[in-house]
Amino acid sequence: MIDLNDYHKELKKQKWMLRKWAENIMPPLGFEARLRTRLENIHRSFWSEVSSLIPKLAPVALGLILLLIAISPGHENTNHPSSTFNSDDSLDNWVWLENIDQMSDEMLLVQTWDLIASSEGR
Amino acid sequence: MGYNFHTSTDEELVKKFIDGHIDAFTLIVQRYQHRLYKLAYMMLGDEQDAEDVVQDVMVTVYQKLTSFKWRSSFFTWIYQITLNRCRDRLRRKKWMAFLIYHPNGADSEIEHANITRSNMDNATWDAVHQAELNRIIEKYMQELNPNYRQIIILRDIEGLTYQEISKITGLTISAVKSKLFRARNQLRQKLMPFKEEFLYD
Repeated sequence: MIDLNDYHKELKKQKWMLRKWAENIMPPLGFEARLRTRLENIHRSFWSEVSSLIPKLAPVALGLILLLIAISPGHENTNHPSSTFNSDDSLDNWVWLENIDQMSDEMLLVQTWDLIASSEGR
Repeated sequence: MGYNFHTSTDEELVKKFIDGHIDAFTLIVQRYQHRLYKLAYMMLGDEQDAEDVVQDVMVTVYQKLTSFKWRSSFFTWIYQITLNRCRDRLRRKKWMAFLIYHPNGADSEIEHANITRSNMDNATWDAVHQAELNRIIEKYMQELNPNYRQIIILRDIEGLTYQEISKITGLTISAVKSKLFRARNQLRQKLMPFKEEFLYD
């Protein structure tokens, strides 16, 4: 039969010994310096990886920017087949020609002249 | 810098690091490097292994800290990583020991310390006594099952609460308590032969 008092005393002593043992554990010489060097190397290689990605990603980013500019609303698109651009650069002043696909070249020319004449007479 | 090593909490340092202050990480390393080394050494019983584990843990923390979700405290998280690394290393060592045959066997019994006090002053005697005691404790701690060993370290040496240990180990609180009871008893029995003559003087 274990005496509970003895058991607690022994346990207390055991804990004390364990803590004493732990107190004496010290990292070896140069431990901190080696850890710092390893972390500095990791930090450097991380940033060199990031910077090496920049030249690879730059053309893609540039392409995306150009694409965004090209498709953004309000951009002057002189090649649009069904519109002609008025000198006043606002959406209200865009003149839409209906049924342009069915128009003959002569019709288109007449329509265009009419538009120019009406805008000049405005 | 705007923050202080002694007054800043872990949370503040982690947030500073996430905001791009690399020196906050340096403070985190300074705060934990020795604690983690001790923890790893007590688990592994080998200086080189303990150092390797601490380095690996710090690299992992550096790489993953920006995605840290605060589901647990930083301290719980870093202890969890360290103990996982220690267990991995112990598993690997077990396999290596299985594969490499040692004809002389490393499992030497600790002899009863046969040191006498003759020609020793008090300070020398205390130092020798303590060193012998540490050697015995280390030997028997290493003989414990690693699952028991980690609980004894976290509770009896680090003084963590049952809740903290439960979070770190992933065990329920009652499982922690029962493992702790068994671990303490196993260690107590191992130390029993030294009770009268050496340890409990």
